[in-house]
Amino acid sequence: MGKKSRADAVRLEKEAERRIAGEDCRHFLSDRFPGRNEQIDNLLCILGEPCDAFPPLLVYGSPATGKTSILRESLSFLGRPHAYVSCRSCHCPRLVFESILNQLVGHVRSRANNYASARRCEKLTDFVTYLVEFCGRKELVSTNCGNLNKTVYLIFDNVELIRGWSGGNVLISSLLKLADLTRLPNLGLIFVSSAGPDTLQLGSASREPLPLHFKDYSNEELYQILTKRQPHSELYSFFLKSSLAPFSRASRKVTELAESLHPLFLKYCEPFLNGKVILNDQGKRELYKYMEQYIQPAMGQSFSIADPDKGVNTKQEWKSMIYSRPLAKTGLGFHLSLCSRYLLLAIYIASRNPSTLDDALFGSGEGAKTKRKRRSSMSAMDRDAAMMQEKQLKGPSVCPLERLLAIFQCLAVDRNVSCEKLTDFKLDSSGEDCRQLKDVTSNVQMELVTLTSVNLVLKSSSSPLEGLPRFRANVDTDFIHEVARSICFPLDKYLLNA
Amino acid sequence: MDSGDDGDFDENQLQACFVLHRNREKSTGKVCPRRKSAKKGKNSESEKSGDVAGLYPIVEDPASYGALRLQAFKAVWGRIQKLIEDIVEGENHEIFSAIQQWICNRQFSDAQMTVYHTARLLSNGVDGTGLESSWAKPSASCGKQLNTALVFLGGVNPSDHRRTFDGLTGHLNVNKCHVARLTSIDFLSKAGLGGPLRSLFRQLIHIIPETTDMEILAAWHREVENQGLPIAIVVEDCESCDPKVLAEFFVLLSEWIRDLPIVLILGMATSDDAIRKLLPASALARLHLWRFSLKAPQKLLETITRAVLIESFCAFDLSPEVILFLYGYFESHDLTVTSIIRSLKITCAEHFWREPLSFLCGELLVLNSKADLEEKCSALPDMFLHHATQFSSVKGKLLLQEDEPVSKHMAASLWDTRSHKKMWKMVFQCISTLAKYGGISFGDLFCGVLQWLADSSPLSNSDQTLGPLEKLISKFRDMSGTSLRSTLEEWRKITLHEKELNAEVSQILTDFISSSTVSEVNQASNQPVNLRKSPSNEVEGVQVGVSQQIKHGVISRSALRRLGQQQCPGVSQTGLVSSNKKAEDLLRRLVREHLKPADSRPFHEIYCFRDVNSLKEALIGDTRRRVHMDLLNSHNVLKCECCPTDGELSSSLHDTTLAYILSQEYGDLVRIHNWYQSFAAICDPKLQGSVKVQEENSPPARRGRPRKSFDLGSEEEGSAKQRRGRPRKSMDAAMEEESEEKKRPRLSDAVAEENAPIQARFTRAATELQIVGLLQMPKKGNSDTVRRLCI
Repeated sequence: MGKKSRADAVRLEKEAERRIAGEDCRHFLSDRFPGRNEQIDNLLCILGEPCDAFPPLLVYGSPATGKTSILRESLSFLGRPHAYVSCRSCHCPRLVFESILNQLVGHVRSRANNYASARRCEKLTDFVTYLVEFCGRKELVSTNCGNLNKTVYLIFDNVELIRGWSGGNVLISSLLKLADLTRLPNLGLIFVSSAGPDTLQLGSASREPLPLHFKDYSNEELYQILTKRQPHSELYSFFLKSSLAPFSRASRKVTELAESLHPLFLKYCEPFLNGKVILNDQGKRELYKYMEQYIQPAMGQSFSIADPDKGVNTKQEWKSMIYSRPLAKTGLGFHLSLCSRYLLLAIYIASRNPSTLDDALFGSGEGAKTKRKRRSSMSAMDRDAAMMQEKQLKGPSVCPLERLLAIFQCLAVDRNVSCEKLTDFKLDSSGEDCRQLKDVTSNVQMELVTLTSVNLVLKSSSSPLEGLPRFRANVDTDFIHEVARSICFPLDKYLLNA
Repeated sequence: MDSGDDGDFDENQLQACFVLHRNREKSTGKVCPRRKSAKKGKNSESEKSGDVAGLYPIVEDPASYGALRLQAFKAVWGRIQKLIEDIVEGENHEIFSAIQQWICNRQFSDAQMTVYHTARLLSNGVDGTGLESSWAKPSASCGKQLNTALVFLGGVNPSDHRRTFDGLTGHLNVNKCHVARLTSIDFLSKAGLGGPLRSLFRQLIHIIPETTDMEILAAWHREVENQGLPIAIVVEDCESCDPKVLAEFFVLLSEWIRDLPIVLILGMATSDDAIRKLLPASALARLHLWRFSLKAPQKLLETITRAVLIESFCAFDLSPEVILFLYGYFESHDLTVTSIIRSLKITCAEHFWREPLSFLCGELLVLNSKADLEEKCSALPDMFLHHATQFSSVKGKLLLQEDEPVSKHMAASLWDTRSHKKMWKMVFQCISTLAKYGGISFGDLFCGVLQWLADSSPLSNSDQTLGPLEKLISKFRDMSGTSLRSTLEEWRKITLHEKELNAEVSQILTDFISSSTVSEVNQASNQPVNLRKSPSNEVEGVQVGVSQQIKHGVISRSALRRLGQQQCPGVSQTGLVSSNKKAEDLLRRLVREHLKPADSRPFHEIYCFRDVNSLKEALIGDTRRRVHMDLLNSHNVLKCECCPTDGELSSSLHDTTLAYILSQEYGDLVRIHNWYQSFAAICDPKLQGSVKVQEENSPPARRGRPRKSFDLGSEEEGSAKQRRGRPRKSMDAAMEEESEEKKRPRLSDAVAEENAPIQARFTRAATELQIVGLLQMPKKGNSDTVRRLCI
């Protein structure tokens, strides 16, 4: 959840200087993080006293289960010295090392020091050396519990990301062994990860870290958390009681739930705010009835784009979400030149049809098309169906540039013929467009490059034997039909098994 | 291979053909990058020189007039360009302001949220002590979404996008906002997150830090002068970026929004589905998306056409054919502002380059009176005046009025272009108001009119049919009263500066108004003047009754309306019909008189560009394959007598052709040294002896095709050869080569002088091949070979 920045950490550390007994801390944390009592108890047990030896700890669990927040807040609350580094922000070993060192020394980047870090540290060996140096110094400065040293905690967040770095697995296991490498008894290592201990490949580590699992929230806990965040708590709790169950089946992340429930709640409030419904049993039933129709579309919505002039969900939008399929919109929404449209169609046709069909489709005779219809025995039909299914699973196939351009040219010529038949006021002029399309010029190739750059067409790795690029259409059926409609192109005529 | 001085190499050999030397005196300096085509270049060059010679045989342009033409081009083009740029700026300004406003609003609302949460946490807090306030940050998830503006750019063609973002950056910078622009080059999977972050730091902090720690950015933003200012991060072409790096980058930024007021601005070339396809749900959940759409390219084209081609006077005109070609080109290939500007600039430059008298356009633009122009024209040298009489538009007609000087005619005709243009604009505007009611879009109407103009021959101007316009004009017949009235009112506005016409339109309008009001209310008492057809008597009778009832206040309003619905059509029909007829006749007359193509007037050659072919050649390029074929079969194109027809090599071939043919002997990698040797041997047979030994010793390098062999040892040898890039010979041959190497310094001292021109020619040929995209120059790793791209 809340990965507070390092700057905050320093400040919080200072503020929370007064010592509060463990009970206070427990009370405070469980009040802030409902449903996490078990984990908080475990964590506080493991943390123990300021000078206790601390085994490497692995805190793991799904995202948004309060791992980082609880950990950091408890450390800050207890006033323990710690350094926090997220392997997401610090995306290479050097950044991780330097960030930890900076926090240990209290170094702040500024223009005066040219935004440099305290030490230049690229290798693990350097890191170990500096760590020994700094932690030793720290001991001298802040020893205040008898003759024992205060434990310094290093928190590594998002450890699972380290696996993706080059040499990541080695780094993880060396970080686990850091206490041994530095021979510092007062080094507390805490790893936070969304992946469990088995997936982190800790086999070679000398000491298995102590696992602490943060399990997913239950419905009851989710209810507690979400009501805690809302001001109109009474109305909101009614709302949650009826709507949380279907949503939590899809996702148990608090962040996601809050996001997707918010627009629905606004909808739920509407009759109440208008004064049509009062909050009694009857009213609640009415509200539920009113909201029921919106639950399904709200669940289907993965994201929404807000309009700066209007609110996020205007009435129109909801209506269109409920009564029609989301893709049934008109127009492409952006400009594609005529040539690009034909190219897209050509690529689509080429990647849907086998190349053996080209001759029948674009050749002079149309005999092959009528022939296909003759086969109608059950087994042949079954075979066709199976083939079609297989094709569908495979997805669109790639086609070489040559074939693509040949089909494009055929389509453009066809268009030329059909154009001449039309004698509308407008189409007097579009004969010129077609004449421009008839020859494959460098412009056509430029358009192909443009289409590739906006991902409407994918360029697959070129065939090693021929050395020519191959292409594949990356558009869905609705889109391509929209394109075909916009230029009055009979797409179905050209598709096998349309 | 040094590019030595090419001072004394044979000029004639280059003169034989112009493969790629189109060093025209094109004053623009801007050349369409796609226009390199060998064949077309050659063909049209010869054609064109023929054309030019036929049309303007006398041109010995004095240098001063050339300068004048350049000046005139600059003036005219400057005016057009300014017009276009102003329009684009004006169109974009609105959306830029909206984005800027949005950034402000977001910042404000974020600040509000913080205050609100602080207050709530304090009131709900355990004890409200000082400690509590430190926890009173907005709860993690509600502040975690990055405010993201999706700017839908309207078209997939990327040439305008940079210009748009330049404008946006400028606008935001002025309004106190830090802006960093990232492109897809920053988001490569190879560089990972380092790429975008490094670029970000470079642009914002103006340093290249050692590491890409976001802490640096935070530290920079904490500084006094930056504090509080929002940071806008622009990703110009989202779709081309590596999706993985992009997603990681967004997640990273979203972790820092508590410390840095970051907003994202993403340029989207396609529709809103693209962002869903591009980013995984985990990254998408971190963005709070807002939609901004730029104006559609068609609308922009419409506005620009209106402003440049119809409404303004630029002393430069395009013939209908040219405009139609351009429209077709925009529609089918490249509808962007960049492309519009480029193609107009090409027309303009071609015109001023071709036409010796075109400098008069510049005069026309600045002079204020007809007399000045006449003076200027009469001061022209005889050569120009004679040239003017040879124009096809005047040749036959001027004979009639031999007594007056040509210059006077010319000045008068030129001066009239202003009024002609004005009338043209007016008539077209009248038609387009009519088209608005007919539901025809501007583009269709404009193209339709131009097509009609292009089809109708410019010289026979009387009694021609109005073509597609006939259908449009006939719409008057079944036009309702209200739309006729509003059409006429708009006409009155359009014709405000043309007194006669305005009076005519007003007359029709007043007639119509009086007739309709009269017929509606006081039908019985006043017979309308212009009702020629007799209205039906029973309607009149009802009308009388109604008006009496109104007088006595008996009848209710709804009943009146009902009656009105029944009768008014019948009554006002007649008034309407006559007014409709009048308006129709007026428009018909206007179209006949004033809607003429720009190239129908005498002396139009001075200000009107009509060469579609040259424009076509400039805008539409050939493919590389075509260039490749033409280079190999240059004889088919050139048809010269000096070169052998059977495809044999000879020194009379053009250097580029020769070099290209020689390069065909190699695989995809061409060893430069060998290539040069064979080139030199053909160009200058004297040198042949000195290089012969070497040529024999070094067979062409073929990469990717190792000799097939079952003997492991020899295969290893083969791959070793490839690595070294220089095949190893037998011992003897190697020795020989070495001795040759030793000899070379002595030889080169003597031959160097002789070699220089050939080297220069070779370098030039190789560079030309590189420019057309047939060769790739040596790379770092192996510097002695070039790669053939078209195989």
